[in-house]
Amino acid sequence: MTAATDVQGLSTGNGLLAGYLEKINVSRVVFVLVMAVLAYLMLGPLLFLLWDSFHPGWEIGDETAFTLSSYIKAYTDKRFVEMLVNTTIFGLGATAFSVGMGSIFAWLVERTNMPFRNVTYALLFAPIAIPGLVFAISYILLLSPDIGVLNKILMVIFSLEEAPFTVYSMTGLIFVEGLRLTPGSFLMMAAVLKSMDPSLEEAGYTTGAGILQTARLITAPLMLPGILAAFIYYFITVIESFEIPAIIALPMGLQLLTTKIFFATHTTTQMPQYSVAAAISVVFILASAGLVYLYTLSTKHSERYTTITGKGYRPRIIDLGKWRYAAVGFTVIFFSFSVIFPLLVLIWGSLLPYLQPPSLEALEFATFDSYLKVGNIPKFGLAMKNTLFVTFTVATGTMLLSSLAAWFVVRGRIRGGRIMDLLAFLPHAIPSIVVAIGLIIFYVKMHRSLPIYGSIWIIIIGLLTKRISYGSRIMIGAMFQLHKELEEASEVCGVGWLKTFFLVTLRLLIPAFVNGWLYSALLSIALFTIPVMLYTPKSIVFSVLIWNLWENAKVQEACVVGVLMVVITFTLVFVGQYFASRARVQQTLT
Amino acid sequence: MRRLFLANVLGVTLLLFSAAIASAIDVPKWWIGSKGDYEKLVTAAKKEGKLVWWSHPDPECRSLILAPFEKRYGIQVEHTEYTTAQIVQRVLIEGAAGLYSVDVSNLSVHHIPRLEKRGLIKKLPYKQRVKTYRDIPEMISPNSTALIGYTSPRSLAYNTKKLPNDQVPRTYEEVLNPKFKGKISVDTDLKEYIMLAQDWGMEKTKDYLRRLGALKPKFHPNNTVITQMVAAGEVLMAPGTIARIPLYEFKRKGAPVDWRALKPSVPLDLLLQGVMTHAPHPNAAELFIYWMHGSGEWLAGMEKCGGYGHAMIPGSKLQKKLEGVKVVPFGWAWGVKSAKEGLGEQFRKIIGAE
Repeated sequence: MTAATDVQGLSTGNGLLAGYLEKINVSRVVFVLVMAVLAYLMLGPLLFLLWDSFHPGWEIGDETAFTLSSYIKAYTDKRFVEMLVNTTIFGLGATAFSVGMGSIFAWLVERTNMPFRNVTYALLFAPIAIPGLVFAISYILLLSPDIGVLNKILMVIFSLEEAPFTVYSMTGLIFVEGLRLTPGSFLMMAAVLKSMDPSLEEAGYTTGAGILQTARLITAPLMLPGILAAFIYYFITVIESFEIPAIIALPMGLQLLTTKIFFATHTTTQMPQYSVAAAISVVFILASAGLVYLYTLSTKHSERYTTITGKGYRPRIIDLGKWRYAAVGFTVIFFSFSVIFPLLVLIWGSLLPYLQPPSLEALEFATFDSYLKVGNIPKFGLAMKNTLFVTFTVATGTMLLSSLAAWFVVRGRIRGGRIMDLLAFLPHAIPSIVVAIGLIIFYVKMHRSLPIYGSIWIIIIGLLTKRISYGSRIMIGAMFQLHKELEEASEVCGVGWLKTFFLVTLRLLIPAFVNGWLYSALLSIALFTIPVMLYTPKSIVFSVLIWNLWENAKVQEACVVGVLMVVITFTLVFVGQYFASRARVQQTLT
Repeated sequence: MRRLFLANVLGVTLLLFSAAIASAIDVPKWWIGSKGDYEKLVTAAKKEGKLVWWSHPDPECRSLILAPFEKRYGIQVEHTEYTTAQIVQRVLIEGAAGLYSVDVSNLSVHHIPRLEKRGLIKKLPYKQRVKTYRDIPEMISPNSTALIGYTSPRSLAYNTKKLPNDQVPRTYEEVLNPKFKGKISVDTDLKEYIMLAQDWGMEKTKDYLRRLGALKPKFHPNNTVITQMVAAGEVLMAPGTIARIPLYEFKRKGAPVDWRALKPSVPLDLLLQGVMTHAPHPNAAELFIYWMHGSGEWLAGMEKCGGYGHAMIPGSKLQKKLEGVKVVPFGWAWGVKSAKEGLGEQFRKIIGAE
């Protein structure tokens, strides 16, 4: 059944006026509900952050008056300008790298006949499942000037006296962070491309334009909202990240804003200063607000980007000809760095009692014991059960809420759509640790009326809060490309708003929805800052288990659980691919 | 009349039965309080049946360190692994909201006055109840609200393959040899230097950090990462490494790592345990913390697991290992003062980590 026949079939014969009234009422009610849920999720951490930045110590029960001391401490640091400059270079560099690479792969996978596209799609997810610390350390084992295997090999091959590469540089930092974030930006861009009718590209080819010219003049401009959304999202992601900088930037003394946040909140020698972290985060919030505003301006005439209309929408594949093999070569090189090397290090680590540079000598220590004993890891079974529950709930909740929010932001004729957009995005700029502390305070205080503190639901709420920003970006980008004529046709047939949304709009956006669901699911499995702050023995999840194993020097066991996470990831990706393909086939048939 | 007789018989029977139970409780030798106090405590603790302990020993050590207690008293210990920072955070937030979920917590020295001020940590007659606490009074905090559960010397971790034994520095001064430039890992918390400042004085410590910073050490934020870097040969050594998990664990697994206490003085970190004022299982918690160093079973279990130990207890493995070395424990007052003055941050700026 097609979207159009759905619309006809669902038409109940109500009068136009009644249908219009129904639409107005239901959409307004849903708008209020979505706004309320977003406000519930987002305003808590936001208000906590702002309040705490002016009331240091408040989060640990100190009675403090209003003061600017945290701002003074954060912004009068002698190295603040240096931190800001480094953070900006790092942010722009890694974002450009990941969004650029993500766009190229999205185009290759979604639009061309490059061989092994399904394998490429699945492999792109692997880095997400590799714990950040292991990912960063794997690059030290590969590209350190002293022990890096790749450097050693190149030195032998080219008879070099010095290592040609070093991971300990801004370039190295950008490269590793960019590699790690490429899967996410790939998914964002893939969602945009999946939902984009290539008839305009076809027109380009008809007029004699080549593949690259068409990509530059037609495809790229059409993808602009999606590219912008990805760029904004990942810029904030990069400048807030610490796992990779902790292993690569800190050792070389490179100062970033997140270094300051880390030192303020992870201290064994004094009480954590969350207010300083909050004061620094205000920069991220302002940057986010500014970027969202720019994004709004640049997508003001959103109809320019709509490509899915009621007239013959049909994704088609571009024949790359002999360039197919060049594309495969490029993909193999990229995958070697982004997936295969780190994955091999992860597997290598799961066979050895501690991580060491690959060598024949080290191979003597290799054993599969940890795989056989994985069931003996304390709380492994419980963590697996909880992880699956959290993953499914967070991913589904995130994408449903994001889809609704995206409709109101792009399509809704109700005032407040932009506020909703901002509300959905801003928590992305709040460091996870600040979100976690805010949640602890809120739910401890609410415990008697709302006993969520200590349960798995507080973890779900925390992850949902952080993931909405991604889900909303991906769905807004895709929604921009969906022409409203199909929804209008539905309206004319008298179908209610809710049915139209779920059976027409969301159905056409299924590819983007599935991509967003997968990425949210995978990040829910992998991210640890929020769960580690909120977990109890009963709500332990995989990411906490890995962190605890790591802390107790069970590197081998941590890698084994990491490998299992990669397996779960691939399973999820293949299942997701299956459903996305089915949805696409259905759309193509129409 | 018959009813009265039966009631009397029942009363006497119950009395005898209770007495029999009470007399069944063996008072251990380490208990120096009254027999009645012990029996009363054990009976009440058994009735509670469980306790909640937030601490950070490896969960795999659980059976080694907790099983003797659980077996002896039939009290279940629910252990959750949190860092001390996470613990104090939760205790303070929960306390402010009147919610109490933990009985016994692992804490750091500078947390104690804050918890005392808020009335969240319980004052207990440690020295009047347990022989070890009476004999080593410095194990107990000044206000008798916490005890030192275990101690960790900070020492030099080094790669045994890349750094031959005769080249391993023996003193802090030898670490500053220019040949080690770029080959040293330093923990960003710099806690060892905060402790050493008690012995060296501030000027000498700051000067040392300046000279160490000139060697361009690699800064790492986590002990496992540091040990991993030493084991992989990315750095040759790491002064100030915690001589416990992960160092012990890596060494046990065959990694080329070992540790050496640097002269002239070894900083000794103190990890504390305290009973919360509003503990949901107050008697089980109190019994647990008395048993901890009273029985010796806790330390025996700790020593079998991950290099945990207690340098203050005569005859312990760690005490023997540090014999002949000047040990500088993290002073109670110094811990609080250094936290208040933000010494860690000051030192990070001097060495160039922040």
